[in-house]
Amino acid sequence: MEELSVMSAVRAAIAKRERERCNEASGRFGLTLTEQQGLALAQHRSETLKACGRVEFGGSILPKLVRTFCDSPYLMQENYESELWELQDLFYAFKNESGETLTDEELLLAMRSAYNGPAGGAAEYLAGVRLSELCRESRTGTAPEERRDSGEVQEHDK
Amino acid sequence: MTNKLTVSHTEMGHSGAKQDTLTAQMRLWKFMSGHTARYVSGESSSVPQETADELLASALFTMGLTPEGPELWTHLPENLDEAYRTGVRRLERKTALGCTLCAAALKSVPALPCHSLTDTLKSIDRGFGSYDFRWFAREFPADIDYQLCLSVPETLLGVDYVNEYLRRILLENDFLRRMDATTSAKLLSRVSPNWRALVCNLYEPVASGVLGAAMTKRDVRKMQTDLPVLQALLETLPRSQMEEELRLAAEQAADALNIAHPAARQYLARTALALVPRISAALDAGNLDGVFPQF
Repeated sequence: MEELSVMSAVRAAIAKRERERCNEASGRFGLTLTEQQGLALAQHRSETLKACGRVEFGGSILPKLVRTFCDSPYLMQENYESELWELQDLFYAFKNESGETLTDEELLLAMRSAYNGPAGGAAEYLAGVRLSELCRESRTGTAPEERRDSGEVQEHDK
Repeated sequence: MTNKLTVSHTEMGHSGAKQDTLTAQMRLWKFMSGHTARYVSGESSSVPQETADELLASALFTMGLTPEGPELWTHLPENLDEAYRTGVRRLERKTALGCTLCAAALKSVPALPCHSLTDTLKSIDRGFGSYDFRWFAREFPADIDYQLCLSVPETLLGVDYVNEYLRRILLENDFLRRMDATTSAKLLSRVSPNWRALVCNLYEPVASGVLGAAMTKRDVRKMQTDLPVLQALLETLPRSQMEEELRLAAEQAADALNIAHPAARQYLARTALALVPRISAALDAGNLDGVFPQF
């Protein structure tokens, strides 16, 4: 059955406004999203939210994500959109894993700490990390293998 | 996402209605945006789908709106924030009333030691302390195990369900307290030897005993039915006349027990009419003892 959703009518306008806010924050670091990239990220976010079983009634996570990561030394204009794409996916996956125990800000800070630290700017590294590890890395600034080397991580934690 | 905020073309029909529906959807979406932000205290931009669904359903329930069908959009208030605040105040009043009903129900428990009845009432009493009507008004946190003689309709939710349950408990308890507890206990033991520990209803067997006695012109307080007389009376009657006999018996029993409250009299009459299918089956089997137990 064909459906007409208020979301589709509003989505484009929200995406435009959010892209402008993102660019305001990231522009000074030489990072901007085109209108097409903004819409693509918004479309992808809708699909991710559906896949993760989550709903956003208000604004999306994208502006917060950009504000948190835009000063990362690993982000460049060339990889900006694809990294945001990955980080957005990871954010919702971790959010679900947290069972709503972490606020957006706490989770984003933990992700940034790991991304700028042990991950060395590789979003795919974060994809292989469990939330508990991510939070520990955020606190200690060390990767699991470093803590294993020092005996901090036990065999069952691997 | 497909939920209450999406609508099909077939539901909308004409273009004017379509525009009105879209405007109403936008209004509800904006309301839910603020409502959800308050729920998460601004700390999360998203919520799990099931939480979103329940928040929406709860908000609509609070505003007195039916979440199903296109009429939702035509009945959606212009000012949803005001409608929600009004709804919350209404729920606060209902919750206060529920606390009063529960206190009265706890005091009204008959001298029949039924664990499930007292446990249920205590659980409801605790439930009022944690009933979260601002966010999850449709869910009342209580273990309601004790079965009523006439169940509360499943269409009632949250405090509406609980308050109706308590009203019915009060009617049943008032009836049971008019009877001699020792006699009632004997009858209940005949129906179910372990009635004290089970979740079975106390009112229904006692009311049946009273109605059987009334129909056979016996002392209703003794709850003894003259089964051969009753069998002879009922077995030739068509259903409509059987219902009339039972309605009359309920009236006579209510008079004999000095039950004056119309709701209590109506409850007994409805209980009597609910016996008809069981009586018909028992007459076919030639054994009314299963409906009007002898002890």
